[in-house]
Amino acid sequence: MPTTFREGDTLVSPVVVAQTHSKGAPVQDPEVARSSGLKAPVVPNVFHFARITELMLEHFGAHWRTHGEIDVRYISPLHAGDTLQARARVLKVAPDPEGDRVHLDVRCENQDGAVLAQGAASCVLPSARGAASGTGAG
Amino acid sequence: MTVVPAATAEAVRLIEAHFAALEVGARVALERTYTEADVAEYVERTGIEYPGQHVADDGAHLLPPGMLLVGPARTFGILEGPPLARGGLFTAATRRYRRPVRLGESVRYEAALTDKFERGGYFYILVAWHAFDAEGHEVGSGVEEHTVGSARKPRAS
Repeated sequence: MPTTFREGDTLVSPVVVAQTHSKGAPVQDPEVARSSGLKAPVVPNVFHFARITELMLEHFGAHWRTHGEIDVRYISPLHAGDTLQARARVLKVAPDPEGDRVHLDVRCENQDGAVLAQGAASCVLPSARGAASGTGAG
Repeated sequence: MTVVPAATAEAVRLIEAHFAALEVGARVALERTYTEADVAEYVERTGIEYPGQHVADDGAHLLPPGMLLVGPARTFGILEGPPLARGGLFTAATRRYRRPVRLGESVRYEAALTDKFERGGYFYILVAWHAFDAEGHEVGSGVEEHTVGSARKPRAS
């Protein structure tokens, strides 16, 4: 976990291969996908969301559970077999009533670099941390 | 002329009828206690590492934040009928986290249907929710934008 965040720092999740689940929505079913004219079963957006929240937990730790905020819009479908990676970029660190709040833009990209989901996230830093000089996150 | 498979046409008919009957302002309250099996299913769906980052300082296992929500499809959607009528797709989500939830802890949800609209042939609902622990403390809140079903009306040619 980085000790500080600075504008422009980039946070990146591991690349994962998207997968469907047998108990998921019907569009995850290969037969339904085929008969509906889809190129492949559609992976639910909970998959994208998990990538982003895990990335936030990695960098903000327990504070994400008490001060984390996220707003994401899903843009294009993720298909089974595609890869997905979450990225976040620090936009600013601004004072908040409870401490310094780090504001980030967040996105998920597939193997072609297409943006499948994007939005904003923020989290208040532990009081001992902040926008001071030090090791960046990127 | 747009040709729509019969199965999809039936799904659209059911979705449209269900959507028309939905009342903005409708409220739902429900209580849920998350089990290890619930988390195992979420882990299988998402591929996250568990417990991994989801351990409290005292060693207790915590609920992955992505699991904290009221499912729009379960509360206001269609659960039976042709595949493309059931469930739906998340199209946007806003979440605010305020307290960690331990595995086995009871969570009380209060949700409301705050809007519904058509866009691009799809039928959308907005569901706002707040979640509370057993002591009444808010553990999180959110707004989910979700389609009713996964079928859409054919576009006019």
